[in-house]
Amino acid sequence: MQPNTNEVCQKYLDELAAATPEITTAVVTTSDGFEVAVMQRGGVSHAKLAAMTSAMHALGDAMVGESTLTNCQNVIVEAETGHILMLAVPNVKEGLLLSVIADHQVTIGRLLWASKRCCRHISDELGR
Amino acid sequence: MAEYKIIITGPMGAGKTTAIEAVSEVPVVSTDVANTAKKDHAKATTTVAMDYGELTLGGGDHLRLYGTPGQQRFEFMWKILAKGALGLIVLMDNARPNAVRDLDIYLDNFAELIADTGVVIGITRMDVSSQPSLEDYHRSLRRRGVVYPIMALDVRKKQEVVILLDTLFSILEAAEA
Repeated sequence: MQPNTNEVCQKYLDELAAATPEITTAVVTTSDGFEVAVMQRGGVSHAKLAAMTSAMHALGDAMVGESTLTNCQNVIVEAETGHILMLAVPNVKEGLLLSVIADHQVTIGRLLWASKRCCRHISDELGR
Repeated sequence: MAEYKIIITGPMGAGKTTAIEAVSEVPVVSTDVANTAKKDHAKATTTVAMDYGELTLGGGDHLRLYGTPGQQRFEFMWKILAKGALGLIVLMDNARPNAVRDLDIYLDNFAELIADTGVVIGITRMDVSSQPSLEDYHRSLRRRGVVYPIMALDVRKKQEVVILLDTLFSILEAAEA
């Protein structure tokens, strides 16, 4: 892993959280579920969230493969009181994922747009 | 014929994915990703959600095989996958530093499933490390006050994995009788 990976991810996570106050927790994790950067306003276990994000995204990827689609980009969970988005950070050799939990006061569309923007920024700095 | 959901668990690198690939009649659904914890195991990839394969036994019974992630941080998947399962295979990597102690992690976490159904323990990579012995595992089980079948196997060989599954079925049938 690049020495500045954690710092780059933390910088853009903090930017994402500042621009989207409805976000309660955001984690950048390796594809096998280890946290790289964490932004936390709620009481969620970020270690567990990282592992679950890894599993959920891998399941999404497996379903995409079984459906003869290609390249799982996001997994979206819509709950009664909020949303969870899990996104692949594109073009990063290490294989990073972004997981974002937000309350229902932000729309999924806006949250997805902001999260994708965060991924793109990380990718621009760390991408191959 | 009946459908059975069987769980295959055990530590990272014990051969869960390989065992399912060895016997499955359908292309295995895999959730392997790059392994960044090389200090835990040198292998390139690791399962983070589940493996899935299918096998029809000689009597026509159809098995749905679910492999779990090995690492304890994925224990939430162990609980999800164990729901509705009718039996458990635990694969132990004999080349790990504390292989016998590792077994307790899986017996503890799947205690409810084992109590309700049955378990068979397969010891892998004895060609890499001959110690601990099978007797060491039996001794550990005796300390827990239980007796489960333990056998060494090469998970790359279909016939050896099938024997493990057949053994599990014998136990389940005996429990029903």
